[in-house]
Amino acid sequence: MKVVVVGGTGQVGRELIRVLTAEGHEATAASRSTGVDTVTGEGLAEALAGAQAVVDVTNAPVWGDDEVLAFFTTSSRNLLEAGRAAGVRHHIPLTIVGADRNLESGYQRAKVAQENVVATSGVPYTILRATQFYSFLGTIADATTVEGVVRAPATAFQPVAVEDVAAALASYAAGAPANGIVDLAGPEKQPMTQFLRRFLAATHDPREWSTTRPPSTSGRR
Amino acid sequence: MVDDPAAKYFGAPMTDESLVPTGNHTVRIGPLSFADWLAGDEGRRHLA
Repeated sequence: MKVVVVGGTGQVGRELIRVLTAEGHEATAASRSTGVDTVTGEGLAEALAGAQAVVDVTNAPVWGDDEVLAFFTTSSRNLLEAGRAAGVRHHIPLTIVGADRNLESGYQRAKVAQENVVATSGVPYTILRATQFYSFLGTIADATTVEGVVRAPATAFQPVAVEDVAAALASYAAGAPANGIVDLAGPEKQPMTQFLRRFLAATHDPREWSTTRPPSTSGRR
Repeated sequence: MVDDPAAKYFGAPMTDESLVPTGNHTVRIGPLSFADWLAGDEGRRHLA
């Protein structure tokens, strides 16, 4: 079957195309570098022609809260509209585990808005929410470093390998729509700080540590 | 060590349920462990 991977030239997209191709599917990348702009719609009709499934692993090229929200909602609407016209039978966006519990983050608000666009589109879908990737740990360490000290919360953390994200996306692309949300996580749950310590130890990173503990949520849900 | 419950992760306050599956949806577990990832090609690429 033909599967179009939107954002197919990025980290997840490249691995997904490798997996789909190895499984015998016709997997093509659609991104700005291949002449497809999901915001303006340029190149979408041509890219989606003949596709049975669309997997959307795009990342926003902007960071401001309003801009990210506009990107994900506009991009998804355009993809769904073009997909409907092309006869696409399954739309699979990659979003984030817990996005709806982290709405103070503008990025995660935008991902929830993207999910809502997809779920209300009438196009059969499976939303795959993944936890943070192992390969993102360095970025987290950098983002939480203040004056040479890593100040990361010790919140529960269950990161996952990009390879496993790609394998999950490939299986959904080849299968029937769930018309719902699936959460994907890695096999180990530990405090975020433990993963960061292991990552930085492996990289021989000398940064110092300051651990913060999140409040308990017992009885709150 | 500093206990700072107000610390945020990319702008969002954290609880122990913020970033992990809570059973509200179907949960799928990827098999590749962090140790195996670190020892594999992808991990080594990030550690290089």
